[in-house]
Amino acid sequence: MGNIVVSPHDKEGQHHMMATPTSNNPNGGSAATAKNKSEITVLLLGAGESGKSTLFKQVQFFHGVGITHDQERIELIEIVRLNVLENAKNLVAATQHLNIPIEQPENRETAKLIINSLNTNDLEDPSWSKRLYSLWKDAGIQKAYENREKFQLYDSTEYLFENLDRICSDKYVPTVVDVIRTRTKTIGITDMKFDVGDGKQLRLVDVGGQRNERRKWIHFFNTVDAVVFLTSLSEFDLNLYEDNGYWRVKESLRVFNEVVNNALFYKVPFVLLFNKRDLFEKKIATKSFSKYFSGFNEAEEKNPVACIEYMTKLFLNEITEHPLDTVSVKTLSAIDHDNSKQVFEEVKQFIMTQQHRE
Amino acid sequence: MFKFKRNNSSTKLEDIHLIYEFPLEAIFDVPEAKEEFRAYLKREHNEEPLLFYEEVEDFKRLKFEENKTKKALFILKTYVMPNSSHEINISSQYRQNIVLGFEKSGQLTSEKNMLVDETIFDDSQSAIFYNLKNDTYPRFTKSVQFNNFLKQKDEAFITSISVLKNTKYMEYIPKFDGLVCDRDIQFFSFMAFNDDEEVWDEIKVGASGRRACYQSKKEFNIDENEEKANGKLLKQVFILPCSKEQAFNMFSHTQVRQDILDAESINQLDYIPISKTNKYAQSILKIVIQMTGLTWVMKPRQAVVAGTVVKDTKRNCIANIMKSTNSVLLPEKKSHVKARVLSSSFFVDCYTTTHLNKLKDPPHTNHSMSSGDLRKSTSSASSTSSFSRKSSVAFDDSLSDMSTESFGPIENACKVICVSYIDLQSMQSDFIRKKFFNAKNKAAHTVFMNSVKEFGALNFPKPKFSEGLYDTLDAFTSHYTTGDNDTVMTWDLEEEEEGNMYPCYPANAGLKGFCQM
Repeated sequence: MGNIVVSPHDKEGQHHMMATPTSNNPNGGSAATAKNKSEITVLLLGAGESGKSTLFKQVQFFHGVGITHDQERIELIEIVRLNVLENAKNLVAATQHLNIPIEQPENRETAKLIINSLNTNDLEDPSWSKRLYSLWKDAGIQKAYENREKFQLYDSTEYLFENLDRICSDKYVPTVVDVIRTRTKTIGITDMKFDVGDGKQLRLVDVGGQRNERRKWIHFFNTVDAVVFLTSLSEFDLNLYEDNGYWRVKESLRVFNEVVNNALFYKVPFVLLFNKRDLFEKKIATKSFSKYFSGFNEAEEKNPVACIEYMTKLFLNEITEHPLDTVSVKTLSAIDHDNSKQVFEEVKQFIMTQQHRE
Repeated sequence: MFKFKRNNSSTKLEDIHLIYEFPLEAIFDVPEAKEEFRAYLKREHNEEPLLFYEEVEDFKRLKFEENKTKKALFILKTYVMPNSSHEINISSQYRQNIVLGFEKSGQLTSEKNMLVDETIFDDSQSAIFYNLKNDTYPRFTKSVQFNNFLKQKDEAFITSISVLKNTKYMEYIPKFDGLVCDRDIQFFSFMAFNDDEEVWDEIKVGASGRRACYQSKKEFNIDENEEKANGKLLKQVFILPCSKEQAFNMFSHTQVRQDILDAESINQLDYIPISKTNKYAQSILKIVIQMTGLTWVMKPRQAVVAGTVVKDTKRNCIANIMKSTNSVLLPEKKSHVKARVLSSSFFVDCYTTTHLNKLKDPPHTNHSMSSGDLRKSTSSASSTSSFSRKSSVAFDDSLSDMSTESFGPIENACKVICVSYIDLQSMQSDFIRKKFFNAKNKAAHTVFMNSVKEFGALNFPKPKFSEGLYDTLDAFTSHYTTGDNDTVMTWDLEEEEEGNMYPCYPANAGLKGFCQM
């Protein structure tokens, strides 16, 4: 159990817009000066909804921070229920948008209430569990759900609807899994520190991923000792939250290109995590993967290993500057506690060995 | 009784987070806290959400059309457009809607100099607000910076930016499509018997100490769909020279109730008995409210309300709770405005010598603070303290109040506490509002006192017809009380903290939650 200090950011004056690798900032040295530092800063980067904060939450959880106590999770009731309502709203809006009628009259009633007046306090009433579940099972809503690539919807939708009987109750206390599955869009930058042995501390930095948020990343680039870049495997049929006409994979590749080839990171270990493997495997069973990648052999499209291999090549092709021997590629299912723990442990080891090699 | 009062030195910093929650909403009332949050956002390189939120507020406040348009364009260019200098994190849908809104108003400007739609940024603003509320602000309130900030502050400041955990009444929003439920009764019971100066602003305590009115510090938004549905709670307290049963009998007379509520008419439309799905019997009423004293600005209002009467054996009181319901709709009347009614009256026995003190008086002389099961008493000790009123207290209406100062020799006394929701929309001025409330309170007191005289002479008869007041009370009594005096029935928000949150909502959940043996 590490000693965790969740802190606001470092003392003032460390982050400069015009950061350069040769910065003289005493605390903000680049990788070249990092090996003797007692603090290793690891940046979690990636486009929106790639799972950075989910991994961040999991790491907090391994280290006994934040979400382990009942009281702290009680504070998240509102957010979980807000997620339920947003999901429901998005689905109802989508039926209108896609011209799919909600079939049952009582579900249409529920839909109306959701759009107009329902608030999170209402969900204390267990009767909403049945009503919302009935709406969720409505043929119209299910049809919209099958077409969810056409609008914005959280990955946790199904999970939340299947757990309504717990959530819609006055006794509800969010479980750790609920907390992990709850989506809160990160804005700004946040970090935490924990001991990793040898008298060293690891400082993990989480950031927002949407386009406007990425401008804030630069402030941390000159203090970085390692980068963990996340990309979602399951986004191959989705467009961006912040630009509904733009393919998410294209965006991820573009961001990856910019980050991995950034001169500030030449010498830092770089980890590429293909996240949401669980969702991805489910998705390719029903959706065509090859439809989105002209270079991919259609016959292989139901084989997750082949698909992931293809994605890996696609991403590694973007690397023009970074030395390949300091790049590590892994798959991850961040919502899975054990998998996250294992992958993060591997990432940590990789970063530490790279530091030693320096 | 002073719920928020805590010993200053005894609260450790670590405890603060156990006791208080910090809602984002509060910082907009406390500039110092807002600036501290802004400094934090700066360090997170995340200033634009708050800036955008504030700019939109400014935009909404502006009156002059040209300034408004200029401001809207500034917001568009600075915060909304892709790659703008302070681009905010919103969905492309919301961004598109704003841009479309501008295009629409642009077409209109060429013809009519039409204004940018007032609500153009609303969706984005509330999305940003929720983002700050759910992501950034909780992080801030757990940060070292925030703790350092709190270290320099006293308890009074902290309570100005926090709520006690589990004080759910703060978030209470009644549902107007149903009948009176436990949450409604809990909420009003809490408000009626809470005398905390952190909760209430004193408007006036009559010089006689027999009447008082207060308004809630907090504004309540009772209808999220209606813009500016903000209002406050008005609490009126009356000390009457009769028992609580007698006062309730009096109140049951239609004419008395009409006068107290300032209603033109009260008509019963329906009666709903206790059933599996309905925990309390309810009387459905149509109420038409005159706006006495305000007829020059306000049309009369009409409302359909559900009401019920219950007995709280812990507080030893009778309570009448009424709220608007949308279950029954009336044809719209042009001369009348549809109103939301949310109102309660509590009848509780008190000492014959009780009189109401100003909130700021030391609590030990303050009888209005005691709300438990008071026994009627004429003990000489309380008698002396009750007349220790400072002679320097003099008000403009002291003369008329003086006439009722002494009840003379009486057997019983009771306290009537009325808490009701008052829409602030037509009464923005605090000064006018206080004047109006005080006048209302004074008039109601006069009605009560005259009724005591009138009905007292007749030994406080029950009326034949009470628009369901007695029917709902009788139904309650026969269903939920036994001869057994050990059964305690109460509606308590504070009890919830012992892991018994919101005991019995919905209405059919049975008695278990509030019935303590």
